[in-house]
Amino acid sequence: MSAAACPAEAGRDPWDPPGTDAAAPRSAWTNAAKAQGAAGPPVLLPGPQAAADLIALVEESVATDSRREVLLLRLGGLDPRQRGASAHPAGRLVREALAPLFEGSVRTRLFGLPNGDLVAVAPPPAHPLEAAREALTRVLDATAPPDAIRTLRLPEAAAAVLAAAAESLGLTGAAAGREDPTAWPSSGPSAPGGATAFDSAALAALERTLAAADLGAVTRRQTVCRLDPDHGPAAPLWEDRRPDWTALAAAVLPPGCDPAAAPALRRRLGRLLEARLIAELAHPASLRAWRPTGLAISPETFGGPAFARLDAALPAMSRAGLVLGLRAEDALADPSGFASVRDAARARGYRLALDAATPALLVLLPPARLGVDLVRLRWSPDLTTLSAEARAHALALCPGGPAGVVLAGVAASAALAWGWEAGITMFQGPLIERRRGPH
Amino acid sequence: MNRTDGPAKAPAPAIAGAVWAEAPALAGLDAWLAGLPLAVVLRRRIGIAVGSDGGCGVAHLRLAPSLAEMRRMADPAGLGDDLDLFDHARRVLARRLLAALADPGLRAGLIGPIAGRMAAAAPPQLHLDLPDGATAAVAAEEDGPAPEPDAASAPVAVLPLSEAAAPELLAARRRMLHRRGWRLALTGLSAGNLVLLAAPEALPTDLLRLRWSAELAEPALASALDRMDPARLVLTGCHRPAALAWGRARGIARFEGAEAEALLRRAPWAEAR
Repeated sequence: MSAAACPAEAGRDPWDPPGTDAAAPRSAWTNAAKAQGAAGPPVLLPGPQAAADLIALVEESVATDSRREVLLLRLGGLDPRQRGASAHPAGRLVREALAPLFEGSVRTRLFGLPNGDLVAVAPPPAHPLEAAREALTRVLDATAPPDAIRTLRLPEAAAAVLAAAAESLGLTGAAAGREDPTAWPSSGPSAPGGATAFDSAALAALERTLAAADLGAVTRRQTVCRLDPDHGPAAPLWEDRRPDWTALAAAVLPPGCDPAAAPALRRRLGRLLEARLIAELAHPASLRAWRPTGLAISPETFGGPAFARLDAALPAMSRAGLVLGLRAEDALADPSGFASVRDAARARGYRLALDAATPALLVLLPPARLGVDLVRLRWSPDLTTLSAEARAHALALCPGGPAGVVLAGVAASAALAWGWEAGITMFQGPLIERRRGPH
Repeated sequence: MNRTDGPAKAPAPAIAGAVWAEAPALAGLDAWLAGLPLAVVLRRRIGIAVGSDGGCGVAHLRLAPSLAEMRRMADPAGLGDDLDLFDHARRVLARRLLAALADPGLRAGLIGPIAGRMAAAAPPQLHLDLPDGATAAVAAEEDGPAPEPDAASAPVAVLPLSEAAAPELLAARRRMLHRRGWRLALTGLSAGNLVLLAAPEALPTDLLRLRWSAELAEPALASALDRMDPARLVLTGCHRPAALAWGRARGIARFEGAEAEALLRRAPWAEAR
């Protein structure tokens, strides 16, 4: 986290547009900021950098589970006279009401967002924030929108704070333009553009290579955890294992040779890897140290010899600890094959999940009709564009509602925050791995 | 059935790099497909349109590789045992077919005679598979809506229903097809998967190719069928008179299958509609 913010920005007025020379102190506010700036925080950070720093702070708060009080001032929507863009007396009132923020607490950080909104963050107990809120409530007149002043808590309200930061940057949704670093295999093929094509010869060579290789380096293992917003520790539920396509391509494919360009060959390769992951689970050493595990499998893999061996070796009491992720495309392509796999798996005591779901898929193909126990919802920043009603509708279609959903691909706090808002408590992804710490 | 599905060997060294050695069967699949005679391996299926007066005419021509034909030919890769490899073959042959149809000399032979006449005079609407990458540039193109191309003349891209597992992506691919003057059909809708779909009418597609079976008449499917516009449906697999009767009772006008083609042959007034 960038607690040591750019000192050159420290003297700026939060209401000046970025780049404005605001070196001359014009109010008690800036004077106080300069005085505090010399000693350390709080640091005044107007402009896009402030929004980025605020996003980083929120993500850190979520990642480390540290509590923060937040005062969100939607000044951007106010009358310019009120927010103090000019030397209007009303604007001065707002500034003076905010002055206490700077006087008592060096732990308060203030972020002047590009759209004029102001966000103050302090660890609890945040008396200066409360004082500022009361003062502002007195200053703002009745024409101010009802949500002009909001008091929020991190990490629970991370989504709302991120949304404010994203909005100030001109982005819609709460993702704030952060790229999700989790590399999902791309769902659309990409043109190879002269690079080595992923064709049957490349696949055959790859299958020979992988047949005798240790797949540890190309397997992604992540722990699915139960994680509540009320600060309980992350409780591990099971370990999700699946091929890491990015690592696989980097390890054994020439540059530009992309399995996604030939989806049918890629699916066959995926089946090979599924079978290998299952064979590893059936290894005596793995069975002795059995832990709950999740795998995504195709119907062919379930009916294959590798799974038959695992099924024979796994004690009956351990079967409920194996979560089998079934794919919607397999159900649509061969519904009767899907149904027989589902029924056989259920009869043997395995748990079933719908893998890689999206809200649109849940509405089209309700999990209840598929007969699965869980839904593994794939995080995407697009989720934040869903209305609360659409989100609730999609999740209500899941078995047990949001409680039966695993949100996967959680790499940034926006995902966790969205999940909590939706009532989801099971999560998986790089951020969850970080929160669990070294194990 | 899957030859790669075997157990892991003993623990082996970590991957150090690809061994680009020849594995004759699978490795040669693409080369084999490149040399396969298209005209032999393609299945031609004439789609008919039946009017309210019972008269029928040619509605479209479905050209797609036949799994059975490929199995009959010398198959070096065990293609028929692995549906993923057949799927790959279908995509590779789709690319060859599109290229061949663009060549006037090859086109007439591939389309062939329809209802006793060479089709060159009145080319039927084509229902064709799409090769890999055909809609890959979806994200790159501008994403505005495009009007649906003319239903009577625009070619129809046929994608498997399983593509609907990514509904948003499918909707984007449909828009891209529209911009290029194609319409979209999803194939493989059946009694088995119709019962899973909560809103089949909301599938982002122009046409739905519904495979006939006696189970379609089950009461559990009636409401799903009622919600779908019969004008968007093509009833496929009509090899028995019962299929045509069921479809016409539901208001469906387009049919594919042996019985549909037999009906066309029996119609003295048969002509393109």
